[in-house]
Amino acid sequence: MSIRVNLLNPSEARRQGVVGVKFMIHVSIGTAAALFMIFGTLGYMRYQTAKRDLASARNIWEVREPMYNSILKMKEDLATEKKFQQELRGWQASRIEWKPLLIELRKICPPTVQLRRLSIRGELFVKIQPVAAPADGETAAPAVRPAGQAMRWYGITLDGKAWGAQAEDVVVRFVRTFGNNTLFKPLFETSPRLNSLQREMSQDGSEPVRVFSIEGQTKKREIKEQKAPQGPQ
Amino acid sequence: MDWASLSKEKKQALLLIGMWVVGGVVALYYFVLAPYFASRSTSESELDSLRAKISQAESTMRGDARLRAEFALYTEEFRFAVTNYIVPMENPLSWVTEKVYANARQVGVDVQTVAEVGSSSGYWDGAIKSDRTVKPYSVRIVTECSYQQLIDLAEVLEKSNPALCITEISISPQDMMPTKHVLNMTVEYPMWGRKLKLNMLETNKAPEGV
Repeated sequence: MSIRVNLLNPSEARRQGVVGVKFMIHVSIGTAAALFMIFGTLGYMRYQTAKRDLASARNIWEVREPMYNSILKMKEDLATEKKFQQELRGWQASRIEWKPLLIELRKICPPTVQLRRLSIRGELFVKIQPVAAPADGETAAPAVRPAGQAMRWYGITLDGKAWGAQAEDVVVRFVRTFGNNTLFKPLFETSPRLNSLQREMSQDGSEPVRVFSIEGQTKKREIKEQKAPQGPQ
Repeated sequence: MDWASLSKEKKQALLLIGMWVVGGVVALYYFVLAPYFASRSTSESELDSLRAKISQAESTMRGDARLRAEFALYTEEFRFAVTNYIVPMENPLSWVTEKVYANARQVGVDVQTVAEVGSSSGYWDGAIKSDRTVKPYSVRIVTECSYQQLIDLAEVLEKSNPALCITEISISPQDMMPTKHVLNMTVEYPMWGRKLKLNMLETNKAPEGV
């Protein structure tokens, strides 16, 4: 039987490991300090690089910004100008060009018919667009009420006289020709109708004449913005 | 190192050192590290934002030449339309009268009257407030002419202004002059309803009405 006796004071005892406590403390502090230095230096370098990049980016932006703003303004103006052109095109599309129709009217008028009065009267029609009701729980926004969709339509009245033995037939045929004509037909909402046909004695007492009135109404033509088919015209 | 076996002086010295270390670390964080990281973060975020802006600007400016060409074309058209087609807000009747007489002279029609026709439709006021730029300005033209001259007058008016609209024509005969009819014609011109805001024309001389 062997007996081990420890005669050392606790304060005098030394650690018996491979590495001493002091060494561990020194190495830990040294490692922490070294790591702090390395990361600190790296961070500082990165910061300096970012500062340099920032200065250079600021210089680039200083040059680019006015050009960029000018492009943005140009784009904004271009959009306004395009919208304006579309609005004018809408006006153009809503109108009826009368020259070919007036020429055609003269062509289709029978020789025994004399047009006494031609009246074309344009009207503006506004189709009110319904306002969407707010959903449950939503308060109604004080939105500007839509102005509605404007449309034009025209009433055409022809007053005239017809001579001859079969003047009535001539007038009825004229009404039909007028309604079926290739230029007029696409314009009309419904075929023009004979409004009145009366017998009138001529002043010299000779051949009686027929006085008539024809009325037609064109389709409604929207005055809305029209996009250009390709680029500006 | 046994804490229990340390003398009182050694313990106090160690505590003092510990307090200095903690205080030093806190001071280092508040006075050095925190401002450094904040500044770094601000610089980096500003740099990121600037880079994004520069990249967006460059991509926008890539089609610069095409945009400028398109802009020049549209602006030229716009200026032409403004000068020739749109009735100015100030003294509109004078502008329209000049145009009507010039057109009528081209086809040998002697215009007797050009008078303004008031519009009763409130539609256009609302339309101008919402999205439209122009509203109608109507004039009544009274003259005596033949049917052929009516055709010529309609043609010359419509050709002179693509947005112009002849809204009324009334032609009736005169017993004493069978070839000269009384013509009443209402012509609608587009007129500025509001000022149009254009950035690029602000520095230059803006056309009337703009």
